[in-house]
Order: sequence, then structure tokens, then C-alpha cells
Amino acid sequence: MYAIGKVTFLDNLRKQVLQVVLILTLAAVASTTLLSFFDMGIQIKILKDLSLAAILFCGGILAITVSVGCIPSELQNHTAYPTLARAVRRGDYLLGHYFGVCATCFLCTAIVGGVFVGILGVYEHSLDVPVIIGMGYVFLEVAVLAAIGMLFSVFLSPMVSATLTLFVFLLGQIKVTYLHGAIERATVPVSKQIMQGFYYLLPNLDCFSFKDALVHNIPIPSSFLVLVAVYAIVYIGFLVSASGAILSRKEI
Amino acid sequence: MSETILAYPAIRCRDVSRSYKLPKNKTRIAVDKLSLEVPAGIVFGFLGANGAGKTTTIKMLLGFLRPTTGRLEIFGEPCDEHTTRRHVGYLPEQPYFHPFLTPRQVLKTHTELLGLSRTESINQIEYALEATRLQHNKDLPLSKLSKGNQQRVGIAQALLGSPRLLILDEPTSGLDPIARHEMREIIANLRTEGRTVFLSSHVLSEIDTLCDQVGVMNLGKLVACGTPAEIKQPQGAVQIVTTHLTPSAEAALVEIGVHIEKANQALIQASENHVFAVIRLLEDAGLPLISVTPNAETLETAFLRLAA
Repeated sequence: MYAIGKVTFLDNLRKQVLQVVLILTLAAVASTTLLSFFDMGIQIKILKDLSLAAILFCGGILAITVSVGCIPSELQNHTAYPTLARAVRRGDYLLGHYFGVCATCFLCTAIVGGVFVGILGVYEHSLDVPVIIGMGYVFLEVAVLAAIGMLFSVFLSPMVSATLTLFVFLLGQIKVTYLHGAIERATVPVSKQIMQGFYYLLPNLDCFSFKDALVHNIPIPSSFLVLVAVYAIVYIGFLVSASGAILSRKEI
Repeated sequence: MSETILAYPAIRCRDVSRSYKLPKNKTRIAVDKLSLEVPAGIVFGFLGANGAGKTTTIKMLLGFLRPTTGRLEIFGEPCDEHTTRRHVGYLPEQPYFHPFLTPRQVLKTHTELLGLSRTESINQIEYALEATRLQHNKDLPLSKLSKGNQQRVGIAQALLGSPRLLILDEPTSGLDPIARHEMREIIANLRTEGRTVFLSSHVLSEIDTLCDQVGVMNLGKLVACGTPAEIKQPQGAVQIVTTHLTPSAEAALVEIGVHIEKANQALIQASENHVFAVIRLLEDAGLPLISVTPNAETLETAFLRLAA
């Protein structure tokens, strides 16, 4: 798993999309330093709001683009053959790739996050620990996205996988606020059940976002943080297990 | 070598079929009731025209495809179990690796996949690099290596872990004549070490010289299996070579009804029925017998007969 993850990580670092997204995100975060015409308090709020959104954007784009392509491209150009001809379980092969994708996303979010925390530290003259924890949960959200992308990639083309993953990402953001209400208002029993099925299958991505709390310095209960972390791990475990089961049956 | 492994043939296929569904309720049969046993410790050549079912069979052996019917085993273990592949080293046709990796990094990755210790990994990598003459290029990215050297990397990774069975798909593809010769030496050495080599190749001269047994596929069926000599049909003639014939000896041979070609030596083509008569005649004439060789078709003509 480690060997496969390492190669995946090194391969992803060479992708142009990673370099472009990283540069753009760093530019967006750094551009907040140009907002000196605002009051410092407002400037910090804008910095936190924009930077956390930028980190999610950066991580999300990378998670989708690298996760939907890594296994299909290896199967298509046959670089998977020498690896899968070894005594390697397909599930371990997939898990190695997933860890490689997560390592790539972690590195990029850490770079952008490091710049963000650095700028924030200059403004606040201290290390903002809640912000660092908040960024950790942004990475968890990105890890969930990567697992979704990888699940689609084992049986769909990269383009379709990317589209569906983005679709799930958007639905996951509005799941609690809008979908729940739509289910409540549904009158046809069959459609209500179908919608409920989708509701529970869809990830609740909104729960990973503590942007508003961080911007307005609202404390977040640690029990809630633990619950969200456990939810992420269980959901990722479910997705990766399903992906591994599908890949195990796939003929190459 | 494990005695348990030696008790089983290296490869056993029992009534293996693989078919693909096509549009309009049609079916394409890629492999049709293949039954094959490859004993351990030999070099087995697997021949067939393009589309004959060789690659499909290899993919089923490696668990990449499932057979529609039948069973495949490697050293008695089912091919669909991932643990079975711990005995196997595989060289795909046109091996692909990540172009940014160096040969040493590719081999290191594969030693990690094999779960080798650090010391064993270093030893295996050095052995594989030396066996494939890659020491001078071991730290160059694959993107900068020639196709032949990339093929050597493929061979090197197949050698890692001392596999009991090597499945080599076109191992000399893209190699220059010197490298082909080195590859043949590697395969011969593997046989000496007691390993089994399952070799798919279109270079029939190599198959003829290297392989202990040969299997010929045609349209998904195994149409012939045996030693190269058994595959090739004898053509019912014997070539006898002697020195220059005396006029009387030549006249006597013509009377028997044999064909004579004269150059530096006299080549006499005699049927099986006339062999002893010719030998006695040459002995009576005091002429030396340089060689007596039965004529058989070449592996190429045998292949064309079986698979065309």
C-alpha cells in the first residue's frame, strides 16, 4: 500500500492542474494582504472567510481531478499490470492510490494553509489554533470528496466521475438545509422514500465547514468535532470498501 | 524449493473457456476448452497468431480476467486468489511504468510490493540490474531510456522475488540482437535454477532453441502441444553427407533412386526405406559417413500448418 501510495503521490505532484490550482489559490490568499483600506478586524474576517473557501476550493478541485483519473489511467495505459500481477489485493491497490491522493491534497492544503496561518499570525500576532483545527476539517471534507471520486472512477469514465463527484459535492453542501425540507414537503410516498434514500446516502458536507464560527470567533463544542471526525472516517471507510469490492470484481 | 510446489505442475488449465458477449446476441469465444499442463522446471513456449487467445489465457492465469468456464491453477493454487501470484513474475507485452521513475525506483517499488526486507531488497535489485545489464542506466528516468532498455526494466522487475514461475509475454520485443542473446541466456539460466518459464513469443527461432515444450493456439483452441520435435512433422527423408562420390558409387546411388546434391560434399536425400542401402553402399565404396540427419519441417512451417 505504501509503495503504491508513494508512486501515486509523486505522479500527482507532476500534474499541471495541481501546480496551476495551487498557484491560483496562493495568489487568492495572498491578495487579502492588499485589503489594507479596511479596518483590521474586517480584514481578518475577510482573510479567514476567503482563505478557508480558497483552501476548500483548492483541495476540492485537486481531490476530484486526481481521484477520478489515477486508477482509470493506470488501467488504460497498462501501468497497473505489473503491480496487479504481484500478490496484491485489488483493495490494497485502491487503498494505496487513495492514500496517495489524500497525501497530495494534504500537501497542497497544508501549503495554502501555511501561508494563510502565516498572514493571520502577522495580523493577530499569535497562532490561531481554532483556525488550524478548522483547516483540518476542510482536509477531512476533501478526503471524503476524494473517496467519492475514487468510487465513481472504478466503474465510470473520468469525465463522468468528475461531473458526478462535483454534483455530489454541491448536493452535500445543501443536504441539510434544503433537501431535508424538500423531503418533509413531499406528498407522494414513493418519491419521498427515494428522496430519503438519497438523503442518507449523500454525505453531509456542510458539517465540515466551520467557516462562519471561525470568522466570528464562535467556539465549537469539542464533542461535535469528535462526532464529525468519526462521521468522516466511517463514511470514507464505507466508500473505500465499496470501491474495493467493485474493483475486485472488475476485469482488466 | 518447496516440496509442496514441486508436487504440482506449474500451470494447469482444465477445460478453460472465455467468451465475450457481442451486440445482437452474438458471442465471441476467445479461448475454447483449453486443457493444458505445464510441468515445473521447463521452458514452455506459447505460440499462436494474433487473436488466437494467448494473451487472454495469460490474463486468466494472472487473475486479470475470469474464465467463463473451467479452472486455472498455478502450482496447485487457484489463479483467482491473489496469494497465488507470490510465485509469479510477469513481464507484460510492452511494459509500461511511470516515466518519471528510474529503473532503480521501479525495482524498489516492486520489492516493497513483494514485502522484502531492506537487505533482501538491495540484493534483489542488484541481481536484477546485473542480470539485465541496467547498472549504467539505473538512475536515469524511464522517459530518457530507449524502448529496449525499458523492456529490460520490465524483465528486471519480473525477476524480483525469485519467482518459481515467470510468465514472459514477448520478452525480446524491442531488443537488439545482443540483448536478445542475453535474454535467451537469462531464460536458459532460469531453467537451470529449476524455475518454470512460460514464454509467449512470435520469434519462432528462439522458441525452437529455448523451449522444452511448445503449445500452439489457433482460434482459441490448443491445436498442438509437445516438444518442438514432436510438433514438427518429419518429412520422411534423411539427409546423408559424405565426401566426393566416386563415379561408380554415384551411379549405384542413382540406380537406388536417391537425390544427390554435389558441392564441397555430397548431400544425399534418401527416403527412410533407402537409408540403410545407401549407408551400406558408401561403406562398400570406402567413402566416409559424415552425418545422417532426418529431415523435419521447421517450427515456422509447423506453426503455419497448425495455426494459419
